[in-house]
Amino acid sequence: MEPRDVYLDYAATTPVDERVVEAMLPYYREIWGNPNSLYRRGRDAYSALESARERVAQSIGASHPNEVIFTAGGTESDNAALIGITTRAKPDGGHVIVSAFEHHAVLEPGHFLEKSGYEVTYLAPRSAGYIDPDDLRAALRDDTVLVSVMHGNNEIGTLQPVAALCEAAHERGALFHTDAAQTLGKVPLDVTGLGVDAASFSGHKIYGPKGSGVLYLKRGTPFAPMMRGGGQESKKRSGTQNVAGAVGFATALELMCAEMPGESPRLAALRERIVTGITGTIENTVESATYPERLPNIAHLIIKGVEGEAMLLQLDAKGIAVSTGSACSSGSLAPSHVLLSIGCPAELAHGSVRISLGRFTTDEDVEYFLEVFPPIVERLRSMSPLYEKMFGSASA
Amino acid sequence: MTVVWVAMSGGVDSSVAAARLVSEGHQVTGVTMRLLPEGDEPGTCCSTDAVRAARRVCDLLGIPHFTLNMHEVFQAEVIECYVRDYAAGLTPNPCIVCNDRVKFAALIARARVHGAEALATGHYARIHPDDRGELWLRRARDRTKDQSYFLYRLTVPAIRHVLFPLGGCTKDEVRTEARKLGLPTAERPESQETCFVPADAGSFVVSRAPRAGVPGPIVDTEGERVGTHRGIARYTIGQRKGLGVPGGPWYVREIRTDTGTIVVSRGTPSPVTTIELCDTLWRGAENQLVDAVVRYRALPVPARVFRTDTGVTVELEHAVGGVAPGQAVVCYDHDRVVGGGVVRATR
Repeated sequence: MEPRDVYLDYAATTPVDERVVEAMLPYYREIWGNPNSLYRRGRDAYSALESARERVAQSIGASHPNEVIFTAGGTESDNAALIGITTRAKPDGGHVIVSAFEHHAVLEPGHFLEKSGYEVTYLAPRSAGYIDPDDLRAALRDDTVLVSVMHGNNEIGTLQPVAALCEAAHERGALFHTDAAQTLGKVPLDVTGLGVDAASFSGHKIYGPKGSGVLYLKRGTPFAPMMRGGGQESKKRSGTQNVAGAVGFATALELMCAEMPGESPRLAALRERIVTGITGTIENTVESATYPERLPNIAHLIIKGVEGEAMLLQLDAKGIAVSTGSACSSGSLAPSHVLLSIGCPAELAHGSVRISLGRFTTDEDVEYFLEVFPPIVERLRSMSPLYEKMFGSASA
Repeated sequence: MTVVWVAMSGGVDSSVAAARLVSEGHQVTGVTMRLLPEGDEPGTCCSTDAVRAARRVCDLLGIPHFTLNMHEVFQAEVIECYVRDYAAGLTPNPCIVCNDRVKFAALIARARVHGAEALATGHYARIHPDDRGELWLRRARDRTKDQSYFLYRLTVPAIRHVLFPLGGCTKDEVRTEARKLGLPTAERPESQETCFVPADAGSFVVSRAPRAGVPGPIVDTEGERVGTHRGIARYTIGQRKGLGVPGGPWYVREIRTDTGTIVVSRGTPSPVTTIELCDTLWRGAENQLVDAVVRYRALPVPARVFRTDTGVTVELEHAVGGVAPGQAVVCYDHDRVVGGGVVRATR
């Protein structure tokens, strides 16, 4: 078999689309002025920046371009939202709810708030992989300042009922933030329709540049900036703006939205092919979450009795890039907090693999993966005392 | 081609004013005055949002834009005057003062220093020459939007350097034009309140003039105490609501700042026919017959105007109510503003 170079980790990051690169280049080469400068060179950069802001606002359904704040990425947007909103809305402490299977970019600010004197509830998802609005209602208190539940989970790929959750939060007077880094451009998203007060987005998940992100902040939402300085971005995020990054983000997002009607079903079909191709042919494999609302491009499977890291390295040797969970925590040997949160036992959580598809994934890539993967699992299981203990011998 | 500065508030009117000047081929620069110190009151005309809106409009029009920090002059000339007048029991009009001392004085001076020949604003008013070539301030064509009342203090030297590009059109036309040009300010709501004063003017004044917030007696015209007031800053002449005096209806007849006393009278304020003005500007003739406007949007009342030693006396042809000391009375000869002043006393 011809070895191939097959990238199946689009949820970790994406290559920058050539069209995005082309759109960005002028802002490195010719239009490099500071957008805050008053002279023509500055005004040209400003034009590009504000036009990017308007395009992003349009694409995410913001009611005004000023609700779009350019940041240096999803993590910054999450930190700014969690800490900035909470500390401004209730400076003297209060209650915050974050779902237990958030990205670390939300969980860690949650821990920080806890250390700063706020009470934080880490709300457990149902085992199917979603946060139930009734569970949120039960957790809400009169002093709850902010609720943060992601729009789509970055490991197991389940979409969250954000509109209903947001409504529940608002009923009790709490503000609502959603981390939509993983869903932007992949499923329809309209911040005004969802009703959220804040949302985080990342450029490098949508074929845009790394180091580009957006924080959507609905008008009137209390917010204390984390970056203080020259007062850029309506004083909400000081620092000379990354004009090329903003242009790249806007261009990437528009491409995502334009191509979504064809791309989403294509990826969903490929995803289905992988899920049935694995669970149907390899025994003791299962999809990790059963909630039917999901991202079209993430397949997350539990391969019982196999170490995720081992699968990852074996696949790498065959030119295939996948991950066990989120790329950000792949340095850690602890089982995924996402899987544990949905009630997956630690020994199974170790044997998970996330295959995430994207714009440049072909049918051939998927077929290659389905061809290469089963023998790897079989080989690893045959060497695994764990698997034998669980299910008897590998060939059984 | 003229070098023009346009004072831009981030609203639709000044945006379209700028657009018109650009399309007429002038060399235009947009300026936004920062009238308040840092601390972002949403909705005010110099908030961060407003400055951004103005800047974006200039960007789309392809003209430079900058922000001028003018909060010191605004504080000294407008806010302090407002607080002082209010605490003195008057009913001031800060928009007139702002036009007089800030926009068409300090700002125009800055514009001139920077080489601009004219300052334009989005006001609804017109400037026309008479037969002898003298320039006069006139009402806007759209009478419902006419803002000449607020501009009556425009001086003869200043008027030569002022442009009102919207004087000949209606608000609807302005919005339509803004939409057609794709200006982001097309749908911005109209500002109505005094830009620097929050909803509760009384508390604003009291926070800056604490003496005007000290409670004191409310007496009737006989000197009999009938109630207690919450500080004279919270009352204006003619006020009828919120007095808390039983056995009404009452209205505020007089505010005695020296003793901190409010004098109320039963019934409704009696209409007045004679108004004495101070701090007047007058370009009209002696004994001229005019239309007097005693409040913004008040119906014009025919009147005769006499010069006196201390100012100007306006004799109205018929009596009107709601004329309080501190308000401005503006006199028109047809569409033309011939003068005006601040109400000192009425009879």
